[in-house]
Amino acid sequence: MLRRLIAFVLGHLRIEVLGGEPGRFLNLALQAGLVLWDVGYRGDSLWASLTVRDFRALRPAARGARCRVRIRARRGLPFLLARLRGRPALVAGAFLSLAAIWWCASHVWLIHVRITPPQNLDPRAIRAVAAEAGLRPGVWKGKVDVTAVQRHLQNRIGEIAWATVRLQGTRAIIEVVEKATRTPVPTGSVACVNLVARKSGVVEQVVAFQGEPVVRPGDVVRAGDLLVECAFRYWEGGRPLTLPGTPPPPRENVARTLVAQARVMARVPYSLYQEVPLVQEVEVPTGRTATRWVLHVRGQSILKGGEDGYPSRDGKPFAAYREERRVYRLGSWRNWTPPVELVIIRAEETEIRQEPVSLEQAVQQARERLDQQLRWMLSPSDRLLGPITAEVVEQTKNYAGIKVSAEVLEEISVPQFGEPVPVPRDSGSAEP
Amino acid sequence: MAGRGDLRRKVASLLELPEDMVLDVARISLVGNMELLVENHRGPIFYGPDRVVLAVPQGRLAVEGSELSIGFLSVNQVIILGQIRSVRYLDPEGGSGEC
Repeated sequence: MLRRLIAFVLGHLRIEVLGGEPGRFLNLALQAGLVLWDVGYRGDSLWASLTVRDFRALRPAARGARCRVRIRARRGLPFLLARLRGRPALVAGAFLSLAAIWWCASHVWLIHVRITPPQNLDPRAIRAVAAEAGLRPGVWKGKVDVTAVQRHLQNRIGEIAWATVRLQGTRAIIEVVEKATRTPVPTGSVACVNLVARKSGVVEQVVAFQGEPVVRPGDVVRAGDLLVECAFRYWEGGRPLTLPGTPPPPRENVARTLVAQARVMARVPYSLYQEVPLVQEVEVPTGRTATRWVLHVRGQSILKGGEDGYPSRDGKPFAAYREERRVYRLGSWRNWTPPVELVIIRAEETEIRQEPVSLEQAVQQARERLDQQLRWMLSPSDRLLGPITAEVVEQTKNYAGIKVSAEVLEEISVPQFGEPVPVPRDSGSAEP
Repeated sequence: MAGRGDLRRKVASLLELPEDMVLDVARISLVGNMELLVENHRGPIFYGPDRVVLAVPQGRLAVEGSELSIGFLSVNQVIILGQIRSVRYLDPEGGSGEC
């Protein structure tokens, strides 16, 4: 491939060798250090290709073999340029065509908008906003700042959660992810966000910052139960008079709608049944070791040693073992790492022993497992109420069935969209 | 000469060096039955559309086939193209009529 390219750049000739001894001609040309290619017979004559420079040195070979050499074709860049020199209009046309192609290819001609479902956004709006940031059909690609267009889209259109812009040839692709949609809110109503329980438990504390709590400490709630309502209600005509110690009548009128915010702490029970084996296998070192070393150069091992100490030659020193590898290499400099490293492998023979586990140890293991799971599940503000209790439900020779339980005080409220609430007429005057 | 060749072969074997680099022999690569590359040759002895005979350090190498042509020819390398049927070494002294 490279040879052909060089021949094209330097220019080459297709020659026909007539008469004489073609075989001798080839030998003499070879002795003169010439390079020939595409050598073949066509009828009685021999055809070959060679560079222009070699052609000048061909005369002695042709004379020695009593052959006549005729140039049948001139190929390559020098001859092409020589031909083009007499046709300036063709050259100018070619350059103009190339320039036109380059000019067309360096502009954005199409803007394709992809929007994720449910596709409430109008692609024309996206295109219009992208045009504000400089991305419009016909713009030079070098002028388009993709990051700025993405940022502008996200800032200008609130419904966009994420937008990405990429240029692909003469096409710009805008991919838009719409924000998560909620229940459509009818005209004359506003959306409402309640707090509901995400776990079942006994409510211990309710601190409402916004909204109306519907549960009190001591209430038992199930997952999904309403805890704090979004609407803020009030009494028409002010707080009614009530006898001390009796609850006031419920407030009926909606003052305004809210996103409920509260801290609802509840006691949540957890329990876990586990079967813990009463005999466990332990890997114990026997004391026998074997060491070998390998010298790596560019990731390939070139020298190995110390394998004589290995009891086995199949790569495994013992039937069961633990391996420790230590790698020694010279210090690296900037991003260059020396290609040589020495790896020392130390194998320690082990054996599997079966050891009995006492019931106390099994109970402790079960407790630790639940503790570990709770640590992973709970947030930092949650805390365990009392120690983890354990109860041995079942016990056989091989395992013990243990039920471990714990009670946790944790935040159980999560926001959830509720039914849209009608906009109150006097919402402006009834601010709490 | 044989003694020197043996010595070279032993040295190459001892140092795990490629033998074609150390010994003065031709290296022949055949791609399917359509391309034959011979390195370290001594020049073509006979060239015809059905048969090409090359001089190599061990003697002569005969390539037989049909529509044979020389794709590339230089001091070190020769590439023979075409439908190659056989490649064999000929006795350096004895010869076929055409060579």
